[in-house]
Amino acid sequence: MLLIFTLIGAQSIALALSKPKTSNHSYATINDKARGAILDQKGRILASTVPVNILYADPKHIFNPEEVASALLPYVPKLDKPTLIKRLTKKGRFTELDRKLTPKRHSAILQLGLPGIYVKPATIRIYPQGREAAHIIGAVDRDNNGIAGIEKSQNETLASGENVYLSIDTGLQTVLRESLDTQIKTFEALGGAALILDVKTGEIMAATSLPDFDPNHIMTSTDTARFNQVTKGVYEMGSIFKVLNTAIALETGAIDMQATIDVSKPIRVAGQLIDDYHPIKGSIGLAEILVRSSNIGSAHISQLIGSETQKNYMKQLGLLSASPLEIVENGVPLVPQNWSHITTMTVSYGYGLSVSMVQAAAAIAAAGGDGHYIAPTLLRRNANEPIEKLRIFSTETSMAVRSMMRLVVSNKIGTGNFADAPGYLVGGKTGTAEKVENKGFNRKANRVSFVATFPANDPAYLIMMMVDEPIGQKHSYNYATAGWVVAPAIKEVVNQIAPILGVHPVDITKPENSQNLLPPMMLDGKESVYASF
Amino acid sequence: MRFVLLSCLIVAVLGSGLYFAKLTVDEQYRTLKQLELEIKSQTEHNYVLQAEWTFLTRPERLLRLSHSLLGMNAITPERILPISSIPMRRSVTTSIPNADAGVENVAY
Repeated sequence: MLLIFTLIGAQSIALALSKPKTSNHSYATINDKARGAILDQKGRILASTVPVNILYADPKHIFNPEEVASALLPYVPKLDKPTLIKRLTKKGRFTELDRKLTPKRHSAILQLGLPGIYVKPATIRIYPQGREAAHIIGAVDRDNNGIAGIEKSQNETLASGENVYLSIDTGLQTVLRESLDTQIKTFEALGGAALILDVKTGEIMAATSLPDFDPNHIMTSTDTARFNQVTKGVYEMGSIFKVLNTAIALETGAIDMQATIDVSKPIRVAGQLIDDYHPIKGSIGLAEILVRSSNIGSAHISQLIGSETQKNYMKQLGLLSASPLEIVENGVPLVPQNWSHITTMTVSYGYGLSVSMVQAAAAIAAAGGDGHYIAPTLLRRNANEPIEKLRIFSTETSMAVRSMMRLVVSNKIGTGNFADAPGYLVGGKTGTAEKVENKGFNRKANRVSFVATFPANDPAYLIMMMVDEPIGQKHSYNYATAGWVVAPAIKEVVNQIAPILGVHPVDITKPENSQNLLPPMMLDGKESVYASF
Repeated sequence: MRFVLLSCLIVAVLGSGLYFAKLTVDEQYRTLKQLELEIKSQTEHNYVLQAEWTFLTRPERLLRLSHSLLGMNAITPERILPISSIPMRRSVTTSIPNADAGVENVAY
């Protein structure tokens, strides 16, 4: 009796202390350390990790490859029969047949009951926005390691499971890409690039480079399509640099708004001829030099500024070294080794110094904004995050610059009239740069660009767009200048994004708006006003 | 002898109690594991659904559909007004007792 009770007690204790039977069942494929998502400024997914099923074969378990291949062929659309047989007869125990097996094909393959054909769960990186901002987002390799763009530069953060929020707004991105694409097709251009910058925070809200690629299928894209023209490409920007030249001249006191410069004679220096696209007779003021985009006038002004001063300003504006952008595809400017007085002249109208579009945009945002330089960023700023601002230009200088930029668009002698989106007070500057070819310039191959800020009374956003080698069309009277090619697209973009951004039409006749611009000034002998309605 | 028997009985009862408690804990543990798996599974479904939702609501598609199916276009500037430009409802006309005769003061 005693023995029985003792045994029962001991067994009960032994059972109680025994370890629970563990389950062999494993379901989940996304673990806690799954690669984080990349989201846009408003939390929309740009890149995410989702579970998939990988179809694979164990060649050792396949006895009749020909028969298995025939049965499997309808369900592996990416492979033809010879390739499939080759894979099924490969040495080793694992050969991948399809990385993205759909549930429908998965079910059909299971019903075939083929020996040696297996399915295993895995994860895959997907980009639901497709081509939008593809150059910025980048891509990953088969092991989910970043190989380009933010995927690469933020690889550590993403790999630890954290999400990364970008400054990009997919809505603005779509508008910008569509408009640029339309102009490229209309003017039979090679490609183009564009960006939208928040002038007050330095956040890049949209950036597009065409041709582009679908990061879901990056391996099928060309090198040209993968090249990021917004951040990686460095170019001579052409006349849009005149905005900087004007701002530096005013800030240093090299010239004032009342002074005039004779622009009737081309400048011949060291075998080079500096002349104007449309020759101008006599002397004109600073505003007219910018509005008419006079190379001669800009070159004369640069001589008043001086080489050293010009170079110092270029350095402060972040144009002599790579920007601290959070992306691996970050272009390094091509800076002339000897900053001679000829260099000073050519830099004044955008030749001799090659910078990326992002760098040029940030510098012009300082001159045409409120005078502060803010380093551009691709990451979303937090609400209370302090923004490092470097004052380069005084409020008086920046007010004068944005007034003149407004006149480029609003005055009939300006080169950017087609950019005028009524009510939004667009200010801007056109630029047409000849492309370098065989150590010289090809006059027939241009890169045309336009930089715009709006609203001019208190610039909040900057748009920059560039089109590569446009061809003049019948409707443009065979002109392929920035004013014809890019300016209309800027108007289109402003009209579409202003309501999204909450920018209301501005009544410039109201004192609170007009006080932020210079009083109406004389241009071409007539009084010029800023209003467009 | 009685004491020993009683002790064995107590041990057996306690052992059984402990065993049933363990069984209950194991059951709860299994439920917990099941719930964790279910959460993981639902999280995975969420990832897929979020991706699908993003794909279907991508601005490029909405822009195309709203234009082709609904004939919608970008809002023109003249349709956007600041709140201050909307006239407020006219208040009841009042006359100030000491005001000049025949003149009404209307407040907006």
